[in-house]
Amino acid sequence: MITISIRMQKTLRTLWRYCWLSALTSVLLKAAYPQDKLDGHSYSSQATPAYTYRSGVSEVRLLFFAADKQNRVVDGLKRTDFAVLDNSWVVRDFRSLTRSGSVHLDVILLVDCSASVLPRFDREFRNAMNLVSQPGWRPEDNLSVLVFGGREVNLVCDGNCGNWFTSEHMAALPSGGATPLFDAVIAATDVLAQRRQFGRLPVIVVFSDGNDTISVASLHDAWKKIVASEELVYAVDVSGDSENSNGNSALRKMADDSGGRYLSLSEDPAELLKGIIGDLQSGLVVSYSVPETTAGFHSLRILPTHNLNLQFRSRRGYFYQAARPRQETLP
Amino acid sequence: MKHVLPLALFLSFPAIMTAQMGMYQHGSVIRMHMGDCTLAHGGFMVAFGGPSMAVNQESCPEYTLMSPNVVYVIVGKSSNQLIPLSEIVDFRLHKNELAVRVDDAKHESRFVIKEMMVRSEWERMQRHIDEQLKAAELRETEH
Repeated sequence: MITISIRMQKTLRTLWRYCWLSALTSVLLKAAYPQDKLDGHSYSSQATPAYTYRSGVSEVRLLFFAADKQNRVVDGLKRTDFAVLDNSWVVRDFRSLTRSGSVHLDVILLVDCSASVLPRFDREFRNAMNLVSQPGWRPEDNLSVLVFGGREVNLVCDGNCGNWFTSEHMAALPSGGATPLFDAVIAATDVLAQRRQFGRLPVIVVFSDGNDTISVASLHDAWKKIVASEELVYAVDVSGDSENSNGNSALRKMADDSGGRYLSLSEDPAELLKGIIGDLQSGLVVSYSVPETTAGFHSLRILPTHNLNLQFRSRRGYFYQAARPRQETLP
Repeated sequence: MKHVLPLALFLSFPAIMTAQMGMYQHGSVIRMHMGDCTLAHGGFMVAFGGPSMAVNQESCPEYTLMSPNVVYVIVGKSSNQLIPLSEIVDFRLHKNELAVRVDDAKHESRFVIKEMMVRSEWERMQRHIDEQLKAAELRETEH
């Protein structure tokens, strides 16, 4: 009898707790969501609520190359060895620092077939062939070929084009005419943008003399597209001019501002081409939060924190987009 | 006697160094850009002297150096007067200039002081700029 009464008491106590809790919950719910608000947000077609989402990129991923005064690659670089200047703000707090060697490449070779390079076209073609036959390429790397000359910009091989550079293909290429270099660069950035994947580095290798004669787009348009798409440009100047000309300064501008390199074929071509592959494998990728959320162009520069002999190469900037509001309604 | 002076100098060297080290304040470079060299080359008269003064095309490094109490904007005297952007920078005020100790080079690099501001005031100003930028951004995205 005593046992039963104790059990009864326990059951009553538990019941009382449940009642009390459910009453409290209903009071709180009513306070938080009054009936009129609940009616207004009913899932009926009469009143569909609109929610505004804001989305924006707050992380910058920057590929860069570190070298010493003799332009030799620096191994074992630490987070504390450099600082990033993002729109002149000093960033030392990095989210990650990794080697780019593990990143797969998506490369477009842009080959100039215009009249201005015709006397050196054979050499240009063989250099492009030498580049794709370098042992540094991996099977996962994507390699496409885009040729330009006259008014035409043609993607002649898309994807796995390691074996494309043959004498038959060279003979079949249209040659002569004007030089639509900037249009070709824009076309290449568009192709790379269409198949953009995380963890794949987009690279453009241009073989040209840089003398654009017919493009609809300007150098500034091409530059803007390169910076916005964050592609790495290696410009191989086939003109053989050692002096400054409009052509080589255009190539230099596109290459330098993308974080790539300007190379002249007046130097040893084999070494230069080997250098491009070595360069792509020695890069480092650093990520950090945007220090200033001003929309538009953000200038970039990397400087040493201790050793002033260190030299860094990276793209010169990026376009930051502010958080964009997007209105969505519930289904 | 002729050995006494060098010996005294040699013995007092650590003491001099320690005293000099003690003079240094600590700060951190938070901003850097290449700016106008006018102030570094000619001072106030060149900066505000009107159009008759020669125009200098060179750009000089301009640093914003934040110390615990004061924020300094300093300008280098030439384009290659760079200081390492380490977390902590040792500096001292010397004859209207700011001398920064460059670790690796073991020497001081002197900069012209362009601006000085109490840190709390600088931070208040930055907050105000940030708020204005955010408001402008919001207006832009909503239109």
